Amino acid sequence: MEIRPILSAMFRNKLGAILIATQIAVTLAIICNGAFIVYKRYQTMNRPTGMDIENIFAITSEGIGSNHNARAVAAQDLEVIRAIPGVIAASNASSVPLSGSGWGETMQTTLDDNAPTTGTGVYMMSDQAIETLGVNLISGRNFTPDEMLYRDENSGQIPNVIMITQALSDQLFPDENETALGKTVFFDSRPIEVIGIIEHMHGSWVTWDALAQVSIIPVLTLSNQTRYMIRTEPGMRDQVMPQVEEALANVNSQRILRQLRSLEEFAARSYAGDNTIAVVMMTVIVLLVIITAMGIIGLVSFLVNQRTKQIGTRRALGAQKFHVIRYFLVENWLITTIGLSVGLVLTILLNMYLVEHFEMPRLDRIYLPIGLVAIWCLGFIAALGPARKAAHVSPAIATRTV
Amino acid sequence: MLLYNLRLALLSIRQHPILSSLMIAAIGVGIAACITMLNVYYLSAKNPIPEKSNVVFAVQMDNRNAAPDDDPNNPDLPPQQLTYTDAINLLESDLPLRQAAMFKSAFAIQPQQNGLAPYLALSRMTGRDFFQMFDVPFLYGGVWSDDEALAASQVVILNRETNDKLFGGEDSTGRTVVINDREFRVSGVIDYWQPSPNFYDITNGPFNDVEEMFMPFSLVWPLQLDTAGNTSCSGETSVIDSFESFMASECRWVSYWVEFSNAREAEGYRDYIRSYMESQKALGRFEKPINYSVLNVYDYLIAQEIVDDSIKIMVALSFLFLVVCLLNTIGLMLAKLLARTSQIALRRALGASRMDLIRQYIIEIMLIGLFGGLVGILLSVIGLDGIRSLMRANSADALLFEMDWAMVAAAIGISLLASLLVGLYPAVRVSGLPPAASLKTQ
Amino acid sequence: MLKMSNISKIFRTRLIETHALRSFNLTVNDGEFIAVTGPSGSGKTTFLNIAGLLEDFDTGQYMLDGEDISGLPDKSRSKLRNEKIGFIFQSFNLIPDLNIFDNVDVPLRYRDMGAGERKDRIESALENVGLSSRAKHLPAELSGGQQQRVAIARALAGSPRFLLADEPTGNLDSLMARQVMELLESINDQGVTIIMVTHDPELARRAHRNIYLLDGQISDLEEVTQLPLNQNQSQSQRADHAAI
Repeated sequence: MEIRPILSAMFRNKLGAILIATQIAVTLAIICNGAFIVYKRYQTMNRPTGMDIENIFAITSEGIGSNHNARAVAAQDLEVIRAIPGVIAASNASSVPLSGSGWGETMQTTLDDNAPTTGTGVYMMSDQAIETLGVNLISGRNFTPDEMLYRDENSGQIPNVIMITQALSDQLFPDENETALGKTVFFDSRPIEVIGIIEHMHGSWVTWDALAQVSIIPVLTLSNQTRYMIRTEPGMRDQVMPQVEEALANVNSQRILRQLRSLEEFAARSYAGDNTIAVVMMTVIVLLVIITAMGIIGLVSFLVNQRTKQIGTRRALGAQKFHVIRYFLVENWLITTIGLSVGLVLTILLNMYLVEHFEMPRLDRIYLPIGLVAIWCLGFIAALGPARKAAHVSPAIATRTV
Repeated sequence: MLLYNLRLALLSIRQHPILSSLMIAAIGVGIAACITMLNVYYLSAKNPIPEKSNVVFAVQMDNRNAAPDDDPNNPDLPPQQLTYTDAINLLESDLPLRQAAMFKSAFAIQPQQNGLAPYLALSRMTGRDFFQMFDVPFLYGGVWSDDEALAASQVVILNRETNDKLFGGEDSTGRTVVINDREFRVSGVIDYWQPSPNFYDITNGPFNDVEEMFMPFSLVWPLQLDTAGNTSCSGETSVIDSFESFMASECRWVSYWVEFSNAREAEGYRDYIRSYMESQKALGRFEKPINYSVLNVYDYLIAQEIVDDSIKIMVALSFLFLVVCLLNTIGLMLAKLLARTSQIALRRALGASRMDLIRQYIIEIMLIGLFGGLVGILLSVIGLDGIRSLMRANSADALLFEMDWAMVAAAIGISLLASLLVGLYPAVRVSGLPPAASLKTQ
Repeated sequence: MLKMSNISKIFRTRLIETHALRSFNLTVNDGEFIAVTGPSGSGKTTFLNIAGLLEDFDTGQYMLDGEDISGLPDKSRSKLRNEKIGFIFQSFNLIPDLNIFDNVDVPLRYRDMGAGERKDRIESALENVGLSSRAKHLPAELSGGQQQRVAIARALAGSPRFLLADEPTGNLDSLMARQVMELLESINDQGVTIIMVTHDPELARRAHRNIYLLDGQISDLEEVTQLPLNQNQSQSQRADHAAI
């Protein structure tokens, strides 16, 4: 292995090596941080929602005119919906989880002035909520139909009972041995009894760190607008959606039906930003890999070209073909390694900069060795082609006088 | 001489097609990444109303409940919206040149003609001053009268899209639209107007479509309207049990904007707001230490931090990406030039000075840079389009992903500057090679 | 030591067939100093390439130290070049980015040799050519004559069976040329076989034996000096070559 002479020669003719080493350093920094960003985004997007997200959709009804009997309309609508084959459950819902719209309220365990409050996303639904959302009630009980509160649209009245998620219970009662079940807590500073704990559920705002702190209360607000959430048998959602719209239109034409949309679609819209960043970042990484590979191929080809006479001479002096290949691969490996060493520092610096100014989490250490190995392999594969071409330089070139 | 050098440059590109294409591609891709990100960033941060941005102000007051960690020296940003009570009170002042309270509400439009089904549309409920304050262009008609505003008449201003839909684009001034079973008289139609960001109401996001209609703010009482925007309540919410009690509550759902002839007059207004809040505080409202802001559009948007951090990260990373592409290009340029040392030596022997050669090669690489920039612009348009569909953008959002002419100019500028920097070292180095060494007889 | 019999090489393009070498014969014994001369185009370079195992030939036989060269794979030929032949090129062919020490080192790296042994050989080779003090210099810092002497050191370092020199003084002025020739002569005096290709008759006269090439064939034989060799051998050699 002729590492020392290769290094000596490289230092005397540094430019190509410096160019590629710098490229590799910056590439490593971008790839490690970029891959991390992609991973974090996909992790965020794929968080379990706790609901049967593939089979749920929503539709909104806007009654026209002031004679709108919200309670009767809702009752009729739900009956019609539930009669459609394939529908497992349906409920009124004040807003749709993962949609970006909803009601955020504060909860606390006591009414003391200094009592800590925590936030929750609230859904006004019914005793069919659990079935419709497909969530898991792990302790306590569901609402009974007579606990349903029908309230005027300007009223601030709340029912007596509430179901909350485990995450919310843990936030309210951090002690491991305590649970919110059966206790009276304060919802908007008013007492309410927790009758059921839901294992896990996501609320409306995917960027909110209290996303999993959800509560459900059995309320129907009597206004012109009523929203329904419907859950179907697995795989039947797309078929049932237009059927529901048609059925509702037929039973009552004094209204506008709008926003017929699946829960998956709501989620996709909420996560569109994350998805875009991930896709753009992956594109950049792929392009970067291609460009760096091209750069390496270009440099090694160039060096082979420049050193044709030298290669011939070495062959004349006794180098075998694999010696020639090995020379260029070793040289390329050295350049790559120098670039990667600088790149490691750059990667960490870049990450520190992103962490400080853009609230990005700190880079997971595993990305560094992964990036190193990836670029070593990339360098090797890219240099292989031109290196093998070098091996075909005829030793007779050494005696040519041009 | 320039034309001659350009001709040589084109010839050189044709003689080394692969190498030149690689250079153009490398620059193109790097420029595309930067320009795409810059475009989104630039348009997100763009001043939506430059002619007026420093005389039009958003008014914000903090009526939230007192909290144990309230620090009068370090107040939070006051909430974006005001209560109805405060809006009505502020309207009494004659200090501003123009002012308007506003919110948006949803209505069912019931088209009477051409068999269209009723559909839901948003209307901005606001004062007459809104249109002059924000330079909203009118296509037909004009704003409703003072009397109509006072009387809470059922008048409406349509946007152009709605007018096209309902009246085929004709001048519909004076005609009737049935909304929520009521008849509204059309007082005017506004032309296409989509400030980006829609600064006057960013409570539901900074890039939303302008509402389809405008109606007098005063309609809120007779129609018992509720907002289709955000409502945030402080104070005692349990006592709210009627429309009246809601209107009198500490719930915030009204935006408020004022206009002055110059920024100095706004100072006097700030004093007015302060003394208003102090007098209200004496009545038991405004529990927190007095906290308010009167910010012009530019400052308001910055305070609200509407430019997402993600976009800033992407801009930074894309410039690093451009650096890699440029390093690549330097290498390719060097390779290209070093392959032609005999031609260089020949030219020197025939009398070209070193400067001549440097100029020739700089022009060559800048031509390549120009091509690269054009390729980059093309790729950028494709990229922006791709991002727009990934973002599932509504039409206001989509504006961010339209190539702004300033960005086209930036693309050309950056690629020319970058190629100049890239080409400098290779051109200087190669033109400095002693001619004799490269002159061969074969 | 080296015997080429009936060697022919033909270069074919689509239109032209060039006989670079025709029925070439040569026998070289240990310790000889041979010059192959002729005008340009006579086939000297082809002879050089074939003798140095840089090129293949079409007909004939080439025996080196009793081993038949034809049909050997590239790997074996490379090894033979490395171990048995010491090349000296007209344009020195030193590697510009390596210093003198590393340049002499190059062929040694293709053998299984420890760093210590390499160092010893390089140092003694450099001393042999009188350039020990310049070990850390770059080729560009040396004169043409010095560079060629380095090339000679490189050729000697591996203890080859013979030196193969291609116009060794072609790129040197007359003073340096004389120095290099004197060096070659003294190396030959130490017992190293030298085969030199040159177009300069003055240079050729310094060798013991001349082979004159014209149009790919040996056309004349000139004996310049007497070798202190077995009389029979030199006589039979003369007889062989006179036949063509």
